[in-house]
Amino acid sequence: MCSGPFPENRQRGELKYKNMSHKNGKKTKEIVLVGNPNTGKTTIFNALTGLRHTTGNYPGVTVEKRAGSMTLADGRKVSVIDLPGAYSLQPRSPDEQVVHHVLFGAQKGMPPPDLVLVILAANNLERNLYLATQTADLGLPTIFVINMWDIARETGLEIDLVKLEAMTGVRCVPAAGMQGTYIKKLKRVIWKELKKKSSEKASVSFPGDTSKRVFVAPEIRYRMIENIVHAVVRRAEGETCGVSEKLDRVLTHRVWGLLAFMGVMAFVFQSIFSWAQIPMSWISRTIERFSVFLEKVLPDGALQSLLVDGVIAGVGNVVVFLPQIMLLFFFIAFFEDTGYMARAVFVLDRVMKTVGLNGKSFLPLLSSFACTVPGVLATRTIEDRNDRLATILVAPLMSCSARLPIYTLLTAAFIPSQFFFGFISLQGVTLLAMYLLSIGTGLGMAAIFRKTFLKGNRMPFVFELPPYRMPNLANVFAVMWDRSKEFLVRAGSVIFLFSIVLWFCVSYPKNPAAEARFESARRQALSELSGEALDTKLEEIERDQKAIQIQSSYAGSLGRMIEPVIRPLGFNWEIGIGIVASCAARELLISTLAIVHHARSEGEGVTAGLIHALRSAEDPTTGGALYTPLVAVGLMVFYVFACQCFSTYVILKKETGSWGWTFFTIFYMTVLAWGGAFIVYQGGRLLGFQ
Amino acid sequence: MPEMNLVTLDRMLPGEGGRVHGYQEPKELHHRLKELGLVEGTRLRVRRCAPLGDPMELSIRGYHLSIRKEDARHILVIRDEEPCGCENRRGHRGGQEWRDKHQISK
Repeated sequence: MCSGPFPENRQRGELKYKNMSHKNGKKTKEIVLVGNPNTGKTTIFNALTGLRHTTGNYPGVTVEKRAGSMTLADGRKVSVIDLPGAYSLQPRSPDEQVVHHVLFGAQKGMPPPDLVLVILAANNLERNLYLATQTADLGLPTIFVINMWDIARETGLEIDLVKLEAMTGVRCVPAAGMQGTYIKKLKRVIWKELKKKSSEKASVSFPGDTSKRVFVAPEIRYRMIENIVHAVVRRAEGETCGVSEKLDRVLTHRVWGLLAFMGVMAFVFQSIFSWAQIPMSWISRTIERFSVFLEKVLPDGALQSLLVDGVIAGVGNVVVFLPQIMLLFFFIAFFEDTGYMARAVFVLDRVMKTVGLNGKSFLPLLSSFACTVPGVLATRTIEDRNDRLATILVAPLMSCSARLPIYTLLTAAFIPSQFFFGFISLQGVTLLAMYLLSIGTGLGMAAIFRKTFLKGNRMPFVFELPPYRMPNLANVFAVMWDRSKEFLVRAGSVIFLFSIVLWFCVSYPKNPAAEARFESARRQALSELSGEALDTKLEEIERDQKAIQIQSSYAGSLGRMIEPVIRPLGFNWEIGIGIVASCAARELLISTLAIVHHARSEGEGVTAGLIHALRSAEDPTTGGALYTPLVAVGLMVFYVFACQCFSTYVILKKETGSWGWTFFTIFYMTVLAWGGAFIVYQGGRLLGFQ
Repeated sequence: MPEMNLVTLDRMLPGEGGRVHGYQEPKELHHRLKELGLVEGTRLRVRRCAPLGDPMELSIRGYHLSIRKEDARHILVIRDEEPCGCENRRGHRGGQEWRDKHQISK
């Protein structure tokens, strides 16, 4: 099926390779690691490279590229690349596509590797040999690394490596994760293999050209593998009924399994929403202090304003989420490493199937309640394109933690603190309703997408349930750190640019007449007042100046411009400015409303003053209150649906690979937001609410 | 009656074993299943079903694979005469009723 373009690609790859070696004269040799998922491939990679590696992306796809280097016995350095896990060289997912391209020399900028290490799990030799023998049939210099050798020994499994070498014609080396003695030996073998002349004939199992050999029918390859395994593997009598089986009896049990799953998820949620708050408030305090420091050090003017109100405020909005995101990535890596992740997928698949998704969509969607960015990143484990795309498209609908401040402010200000039956608070119910609305709409949209333009599956939903194992914490932390760094760089760099643009929109054009008026008012105050009265007066002037400034800025004009559109929702131009300014991040709505409504910051910070300012805000056209409970609920619903977040736009573009899907997501969410707020406001008025 | 023992995989109960006979109306989709080891003649055993009845967990070639019933429906299996026992049979919705309905003897 895929054999068509290979020879051409291969030639192109070799051509590039020649060019490169010609240019550089000498070139560092390159080793790649290939293997099924769950073989401990990354552990071997970490052991070889000593945890020092860089992560990036393969051009044009969202597949993570991990590269490092190791030193050989003679002091030479070789580069090592950890390819993503694959089950076959016949690609079915973006991950496998990359493996295929690299091994066939068709990957842009990468010549065919000098040596391929295939990592096999000793306790799962039979299926692992499928990819391994396919790889050997490429004819490249190859070593089989039989990992988890120690575990296999303990469970009474014996593998005759000499026979395995004889039957496959490939050098076989045992390994046991990070254990030094095995790694030392492996390094020696690598060195020897690299020294060999490339003219030595590679041993392959089937006749014909490369793609014919590699892509023989699975039936035929498995027949060969069965022969090998039969001759090489000695198993202790009876199937082992070990710890893994006992754990599975609980964790996939129809009652205990579901309870355990809910318990685990409750724990994850609890840690993200309460424990992470401690470092988060610490970070935001540090950022605040830094802004205050800069305000003191730098002279007043455009530069100070740009740095403090633009760059630091914008980037700070992203950095503040780092603790949540790191925790989330830690849990994901931990569950993956222990093998629990596969069980969670197993337990949840039936539920997710009802909306056309699969079990693997659950965790990305759950992560999105903390932040859309890690949620969308976590969809990479979903192989099927349509499942993955549907999950990505609805992930921004999950009510992320940036929406929470908006809900809390508006409920505190406008929802009466009533209790039903003495203990169910109306404010709590409102908050819960927002979350339920987000979940319900998200799953509903997923079902609609999967029934319309993302119809059908390209491959059956199958996955392996690997044996449980003790997590390797060094690995878990390494994975967590890699992904968090990626988030910071990804989101941070673009947010940096957008923050400057947004700052410009709310700060310019200046209004010279108003500036002069405030300047003279300030001078007057300085000459007439002193002490506390002066401070109060100056603060008041500053507040009024900021309010006038934002109103006459580009953002202000935009806010007025969209007023006719949002009028049916009960919003006026002041909320319009808030909506425009919070395009970058939803929580900016609060600070913008505070500026627009001249909110006084009192003892307890901005919130109390803002609540007061919101309650007393008047609608100049009608003279009535601007914010009624109905408008507040409408505004909350608007923010449940609206896709107001630059980081989300960036991650959508990166992970879907197209601006088309990104704009589609922004579009459909904005339509939902408008429609939702319209129904709340107009429907509420028809029913006689205020 | 050996032909009575030819069933589609989704109809097998936890604890039952068998041998892959082939695929119904083979599709490109099945290639991945074959690559994972579900080729003609492969021995398999159903270990359990997920708490909500779907997917099912198989034991093949020394490892465990989860497969949805809608995909398992395409795989024809020659079921063993006697189930291999030792497995718990819970976690399968309406096992016996279903078996009666489809008149499948053990």
